[in-house]
Amino acid sequence: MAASMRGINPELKKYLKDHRLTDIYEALLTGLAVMTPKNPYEFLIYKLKHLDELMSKDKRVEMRWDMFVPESKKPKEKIIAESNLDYIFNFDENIQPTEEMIEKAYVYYNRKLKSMSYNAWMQYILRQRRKHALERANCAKADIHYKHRILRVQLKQWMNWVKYRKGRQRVAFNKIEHIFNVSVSRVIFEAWHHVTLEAKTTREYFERLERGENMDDESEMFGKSTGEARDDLSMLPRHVAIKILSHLDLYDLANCSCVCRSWKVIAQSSQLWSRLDFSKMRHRVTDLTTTKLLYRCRPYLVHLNLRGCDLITNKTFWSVRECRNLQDLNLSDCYAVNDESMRVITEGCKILLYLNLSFTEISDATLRLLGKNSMNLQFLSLAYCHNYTDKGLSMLSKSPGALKLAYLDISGCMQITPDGFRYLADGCSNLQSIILNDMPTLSDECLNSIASKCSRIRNFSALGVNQLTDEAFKAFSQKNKRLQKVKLSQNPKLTDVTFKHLAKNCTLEVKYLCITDCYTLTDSALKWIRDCKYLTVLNLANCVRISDAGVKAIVESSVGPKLKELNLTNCVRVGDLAVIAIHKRCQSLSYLSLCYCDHIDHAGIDLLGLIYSLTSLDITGCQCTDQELSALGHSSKIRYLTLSECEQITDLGIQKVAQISALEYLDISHCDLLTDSGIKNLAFCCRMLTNLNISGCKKLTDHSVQYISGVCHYLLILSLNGLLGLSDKSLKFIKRGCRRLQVLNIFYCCNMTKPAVAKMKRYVPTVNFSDELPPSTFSY
Amino acid sequence: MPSIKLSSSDGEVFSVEVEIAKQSNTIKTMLEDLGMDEEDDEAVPLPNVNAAILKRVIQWCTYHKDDPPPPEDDENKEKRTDDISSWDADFLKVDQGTLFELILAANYLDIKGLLDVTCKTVANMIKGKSPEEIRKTFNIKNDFTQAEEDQVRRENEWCEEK
Repeated sequence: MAASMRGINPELKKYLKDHRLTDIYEALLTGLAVMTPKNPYEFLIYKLKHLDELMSKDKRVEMRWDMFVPESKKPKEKIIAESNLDYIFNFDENIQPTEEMIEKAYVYYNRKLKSMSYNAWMQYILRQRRKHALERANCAKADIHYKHRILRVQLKQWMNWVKYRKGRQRVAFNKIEHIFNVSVSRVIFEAWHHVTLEAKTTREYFERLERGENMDDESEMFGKSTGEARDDLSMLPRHVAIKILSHLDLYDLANCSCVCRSWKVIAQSSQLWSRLDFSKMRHRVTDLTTTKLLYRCRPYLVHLNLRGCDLITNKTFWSVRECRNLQDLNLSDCYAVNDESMRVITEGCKILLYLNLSFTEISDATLRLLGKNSMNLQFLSLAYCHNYTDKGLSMLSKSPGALKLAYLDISGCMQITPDGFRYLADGCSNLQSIILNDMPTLSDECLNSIASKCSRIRNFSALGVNQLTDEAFKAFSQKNKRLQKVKLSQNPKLTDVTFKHLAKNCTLEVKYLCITDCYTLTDSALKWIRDCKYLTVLNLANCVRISDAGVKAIVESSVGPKLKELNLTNCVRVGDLAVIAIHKRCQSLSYLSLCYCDHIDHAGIDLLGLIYSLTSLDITGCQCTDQELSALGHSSKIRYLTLSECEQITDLGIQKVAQISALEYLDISHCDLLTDSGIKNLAFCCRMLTNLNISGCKKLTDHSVQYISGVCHYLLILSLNGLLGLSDKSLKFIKRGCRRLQVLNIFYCCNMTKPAVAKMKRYVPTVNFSDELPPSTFSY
Repeated sequence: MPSIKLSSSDGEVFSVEVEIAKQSNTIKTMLEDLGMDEEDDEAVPLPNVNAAILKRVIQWCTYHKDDPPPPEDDENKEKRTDDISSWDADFLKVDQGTLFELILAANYLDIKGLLDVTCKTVANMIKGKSPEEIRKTFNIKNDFTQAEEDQVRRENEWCEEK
């Protein structure tokens, strides 16, 4: 009996005990719990019946709690706790829990309480912990904020302090600068004062000298000098003496100032030093020379030419900067010129009028500086500068000074696009001369944009521009009615129509026309041009379609008598008829070129000698024989005569030519029939020759040179190229006879020796020599 | 051809074509301003020029009467002293005294061409010479003191570093 029976009614207890109901109950329940039959009631009924059978056999049969469970499924422990049984059989309300139960309950309660309070405590702790974390975070934030705040305040104070310091420094600096300036100007003023005083006393001294007043103490030292120092030059009026010295270069001037006192005064006059030209000695001028001279001339320097000086550097430009009165500056082809040097110069020289920057490295920055600093610029050459762009032109033309620009040369600047020309035209609308040579990309658009804004152009040059069409020139000439000078060449798109417009729009202005290498041009162009009444110069070299009719048309119009220069080189269709017309009409023609006009016959050349106004004639490569030359020989005015490649001329012809005794320039190169005796006659008659070219006359020998050098003492240029008959003897003759010779050309004289030529170089400034064999053009 | 008479300082009278005489700006303005009658018999007095020089001046003017202007060209010609025509060079083959008198006459008469060419001739005489050679050519005495000479040399130091 497992279930306790405490507190049960004793009768019931006895009943339960007698029938062992609790044990049976326990065994049945265990059986049910373990076996879990599908039909518990049948199971119960069956087991009770079985028990009833056992009980009827033996009332004291052993009752075990697992008696209804088969052996195989017997659990090890009791499934039904005894307390449960107690509860089931707890009929009485007074039933007290057992001590065990109380203990258990107590333990259980205790545990529960403990776990509750533990949970609560845990929650509290966690909350506390979170709170602390939050506080700590806030603290950190506050800390940072505080620090920042402090930093800001400090920074503000520091900045104020710096500002204050800077202000004080500036004030101090200004004060120091002021004091410095004052003391510098004092020093300068004192020095200047000193110099002026000195100059004044010197000048007075020189004046006294010039007046011939004796000076007590010095008259003894230079007893005779005061009287005798009156040389011819010093006695000339001052401006004439200066004019003489103005023909000298800088080195000669320096020598002159060392001659004597009066020469020193003349040689140092400011007029002579207002112009410095270094270009003649461009390869030896260094910074030292330029800086010294510029320093000396800086107050009165007006013209400065540094063309091609390749040794100078930025140092020179800093000296140029000090020349405040500089108006004319030529920096063409100086390696050292760049944007920086132009900044230096333009900031100093504010009144520049003429500026030549051709062949330099300048870029847009320079053009910007020019626009900003050089407001008076009238003449600007940017030819062949490849580093600037449209942008530079736009900056230049936006400056107010651009309106003053009258001359602009941008030859060879192919980087300029139509936009560039538009900018240019916008700003520089007063341009009078525009030079656009060597720009194969120049299009009608460019010219149109210029024509749209500029209406004062008088001088237009576009040599080597081959894209322009008649339309462009139409617009251009309609807008620019005062065109005087037009130069065009190698333009295959140009037709006669251009000249129609030109003649129609600019009739009374055009004076100078140079249209070369235009194969499309025909006679009708000349028919249009004849309306230009004031035309004096006409150059149609290489316009091969021009014929007699065209030349006649223009010569027989009112242009003919006024024409001074006419060039028909290689106009192969021009023949005698044209020459007859020229002879009849052109009474003022001075310069005439008919090179390679094969169609001009004997009759034509005969007439040339009768054009009395001619001073220069070029009939290279014409069919000219001795007979016609005799007519030329009677023309007294011709000074410059070119008969090159007239292969039929013999000694007899040269004798006829030699009758022109005033001849100064004679070119008879490649006249193969000439011999020494011809040259002898020539030299005998033409003693005034300054320039003689007898290159390629194969038969000539040393004797020719002997004749020439013996008589023609005024020769300046002598060309003897390709004369194989000449030896070193010739050089000796030249050295002895031609004292004035400046240039000696002896290319391909392979019978001369190098040492002799080297010796010659000491006497003649320029000797061009090569000892190679003559090229095929010399037809040996 | 109309002509006028010119009277030299020593009283010799030259009859010259007006066109030739007009190369002298002085005579030209005189004729224009005073409205001198070309038929006038009275000679124009030229008190600064003697007969010998005036004769030479007239010779020069006659030769250069109708010189054409030089060919028109864009390039600004560099100043040259060797472009004296040979006729002029021959004409100016005279002693120094005459040359300077010609300069004075050309200056007085204001004949630009003659003045140019005579000045160039003198310049050519100076060209390329050392100070000593120049003194010799023009017969000049060196009147610098030693100190002055040193100073001048210092001033021209730049030209010695050729």
